Amino acid sequence: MWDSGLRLLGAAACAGFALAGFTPLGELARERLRPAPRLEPADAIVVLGAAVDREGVLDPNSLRRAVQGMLLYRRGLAPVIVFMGTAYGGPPEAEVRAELARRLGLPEEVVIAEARGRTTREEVQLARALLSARGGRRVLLVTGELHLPRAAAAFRRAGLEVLPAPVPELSAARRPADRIAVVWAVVRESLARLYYRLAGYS
Amino acid sequence: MNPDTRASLELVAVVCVTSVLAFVVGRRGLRLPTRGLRFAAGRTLECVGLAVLFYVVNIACGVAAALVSRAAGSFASLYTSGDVSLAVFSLLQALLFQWWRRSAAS
Repeated sequence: MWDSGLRLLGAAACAGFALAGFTPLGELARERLRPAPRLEPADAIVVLGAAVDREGVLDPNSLRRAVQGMLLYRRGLAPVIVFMGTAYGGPPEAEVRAELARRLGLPEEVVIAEARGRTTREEVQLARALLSARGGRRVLLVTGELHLPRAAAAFRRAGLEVLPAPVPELSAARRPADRIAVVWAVVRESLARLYYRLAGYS
Repeated sequence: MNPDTRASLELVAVVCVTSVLAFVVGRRGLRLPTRGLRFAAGRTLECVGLAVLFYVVNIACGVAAALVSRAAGSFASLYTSGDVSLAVFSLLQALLFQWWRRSAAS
């Protein structure tokens, strides 16, 4: 019984591997989950954190999000841009991004770095406090395309109006390893959404 | 043909060729019986199933530990549980456990 159960589980895992690596299953799931962008004027652009290393080098996803936020600011869609992102044993991600924005010519007074948020939920709370102090509630939310629906739901739950600005973060699934990475990301984010719903965060 | 599809098929082709070579070596070089392949496939699936089981339990324990740590006031990232090394560790755990069981049975 135990052995046949294991064989069944093993066969299911092999079938899952074949489906994930050699069919467009992951891409289809990603298309389904990807939110449509709504790039309209807002009270602030909020760029959620990803990661930074100890030397202050931004993770590629962090850099993509930061660039997207700066481009939205350049389009005149909001008067301020808030960079989130905590520290991982080195300089805080938010500070590194804010410094990058200043060096790329964004005015000092429009760039805000908020480095205390370690989770999406904490970032929501900090963003809400920042916006409340400024009398705003409409945010252009910049984060990864798969992360955005969960983050947006948490922002809405906190009473903020969200305009999604999704950033593609996984490269086009060209090889089996890419396709498996997409499927894994979809599964992980789906579980995270479930957790946020059960915990009442979104 | 789409270059991505072609790359995937090349990978599958390489695995098929090396599998056929291994079969030939097993049959002619080591004189292994063909009927043993079915048994081996079953054992392989058991091992994969056990690896999946270890993987799920490892992730669940990692997530639980992170949540307990957060509740105690010390921050731990949930993303650590998704690290690819956990899959490799789970496979090693499964192999070790299976061989242990087999050694007890023999």
